[in-house]
Amino acid sequence: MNSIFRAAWIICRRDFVATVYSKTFFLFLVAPLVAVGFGYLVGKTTEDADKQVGRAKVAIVAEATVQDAMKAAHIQLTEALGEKALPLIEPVAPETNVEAQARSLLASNDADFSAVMTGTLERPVLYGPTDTVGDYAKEIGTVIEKARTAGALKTAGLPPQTSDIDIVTTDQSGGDTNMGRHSLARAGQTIIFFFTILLAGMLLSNLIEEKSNKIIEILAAAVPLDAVFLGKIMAMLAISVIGVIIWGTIGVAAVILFQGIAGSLTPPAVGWPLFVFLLLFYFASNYMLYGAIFVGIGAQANSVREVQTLSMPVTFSQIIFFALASSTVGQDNVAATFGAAALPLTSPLTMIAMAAQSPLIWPHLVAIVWQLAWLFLIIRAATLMFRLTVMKSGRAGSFFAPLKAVFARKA
Amino acid sequence: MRGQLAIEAKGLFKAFDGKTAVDGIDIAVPEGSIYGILGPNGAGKTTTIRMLLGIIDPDRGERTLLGHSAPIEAASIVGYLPEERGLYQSMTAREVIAFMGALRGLPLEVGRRRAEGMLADNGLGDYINKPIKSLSKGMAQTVQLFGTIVHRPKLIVLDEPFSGLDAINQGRLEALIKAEAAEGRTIIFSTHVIAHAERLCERIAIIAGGKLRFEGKVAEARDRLRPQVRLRTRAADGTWRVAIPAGAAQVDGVFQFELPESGIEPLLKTLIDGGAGIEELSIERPGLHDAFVAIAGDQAMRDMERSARMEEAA
Repeated sequence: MNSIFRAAWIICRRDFVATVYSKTFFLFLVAPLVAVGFGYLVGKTTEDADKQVGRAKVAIVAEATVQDAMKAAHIQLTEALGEKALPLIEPVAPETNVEAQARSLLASNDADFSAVMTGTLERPVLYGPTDTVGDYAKEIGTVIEKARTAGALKTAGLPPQTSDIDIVTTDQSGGDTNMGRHSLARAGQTIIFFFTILLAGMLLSNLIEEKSNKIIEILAAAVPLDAVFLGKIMAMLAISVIGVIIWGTIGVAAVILFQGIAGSLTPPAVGWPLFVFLLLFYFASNYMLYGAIFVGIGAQANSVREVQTLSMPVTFSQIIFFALASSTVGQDNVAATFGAAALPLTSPLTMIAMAAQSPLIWPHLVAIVWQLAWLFLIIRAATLMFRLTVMKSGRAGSFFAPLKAVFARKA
Repeated sequence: MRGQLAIEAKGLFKAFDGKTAVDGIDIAVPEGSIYGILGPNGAGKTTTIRMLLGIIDPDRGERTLLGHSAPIEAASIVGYLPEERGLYQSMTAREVIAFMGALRGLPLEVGRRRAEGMLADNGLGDYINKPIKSLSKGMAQTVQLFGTIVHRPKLIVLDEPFSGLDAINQGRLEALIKAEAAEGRTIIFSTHVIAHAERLCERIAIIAGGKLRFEGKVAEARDRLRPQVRLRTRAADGTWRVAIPAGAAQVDGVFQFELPESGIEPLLKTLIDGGAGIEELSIERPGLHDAFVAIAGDQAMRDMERSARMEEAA
């Protein structure tokens, strides 16, 4: 093993052990689980209320037969179109003055109605505010139409209307496969982005301890600074991978336990085994590319406060690059996709989307080499900047000097 | 490797933000010697050491460390104790020493074994598994020193190693430096306390104001000054007075002056023949302190003494 990688391994090992064996690491692992669990419980508690609160409600102030017909039609349409396609309906017993009753119901906040229907199926009347009543008229009109048809069929002694469709199954549909792969592409990008934005920020403050304790002097005299930077990034990647594995395992287990497997996922274009490998690689690559930049930026900071100030613009830049990579999913624009794949900070996200959508393997081989080359360049630039500005070394040295060391064998 | 020099530097120059810190320093440290860099705080000692070790690069000049023009290539056979001490506070004493050795290429297991031995041999056996943050400042400094030498380097560089140590630990450190040198290691250290250099060093460099004022053997530095004569006579006046140089000082009836080039015999003859009545006569070889004043100047000496006083107060 050559000297840079050996030294990086020593630094990596120390940082890894120091972090994993600290009390705060347990908190690091548990806190996201507690947060997600708490969020789930709160979400579950408010779910039913949200279902009601989030949808409009129309009062049916009419004879019982009309109300029954409307309810039956509403059930049928909801089954076909989904719960959120139509406003809820609620039967209300009519009073003597129906118009006054309708106005009263709409004036009352307690009643919580968005519109009120009176009259019959043949001559319905809908009350509601000027700006929304037109929309409710269309939606309630659909229910009324369905109820009228059902009533007519019943009067004629005919059975309820059904659609007799012969079903012929095929192995696949191109449209569904493409939609599934686009979803998978976006899911892959989101996973990489989410875990990178969650974890790579830690690297901003990674050199603060060494700088404040003057340990950097010992490190700089003993090993190439490139090894210090690389070792720190590797350590944080390893720590992050532990977190991702634990959270991922618990997350998948929870989904299977509570919801079951809701149907088979569309396989990615490169196949599941390679896709999973590429997902892991591109996460590592994305993490290390951002991590190298963050270590470089953080190394310039003199205090934790300065690091905190840097966090916001750094996070914001990640979101911009994520948006850029996301825009290439499902697009036929080859130039845009190539550009996003070539740009180092969008390359891993773009390539994982490509793995979901295209069966070509060679672009990934090129991308892997390309991203590793950029990792070297970024670490090298960060090191030179550190030597120039923090260590105050006049000559930062040759940009490609470490390459000689990397490939040099020990005598 | 050129000759038998552990370190060779020529014309080292370094400026920070346009201000010259080190100006054309030449240093040659023979292998196996104890070498001191003397100078007051701010003289450029640490900057010189950092350039020699490759922590920073000189703006001009060249240096060779154990035959390597790129100092990092010699890292595995060099040990370095920086002036500003720093350790990972949560690591144990044993792990810190082993880690510092590992940075220099020593396998961790070997480093751990050696660390245990070093700590136990120096009365710190109870602290092997204690985190650095639980150790006293002196203990932590000792741990860092062990980390500096755990890989048994050929060259040990110590920047102000006595700084912050009490008298007992200073004595221990001096003994350790001698022991390491006895095993053939080259030791270079900086200090602003002349006594340490005088007791330990064979060769020294005197730096003041970023410039090298002297480089050579300690004896050569002292030989820059003539031996000092102290003379007390019974007679206040007489023909013997012609033997006393014009610039001689007289303090409490004692004449103090440099031994004339002609030597002691003519001086004695004149004093005796002139009836001076010699009560007290001594010839003293100048110490490094006097040599330092003569070489670097009074201001540099005052700066050195102020640095030492500040450190003691701290």
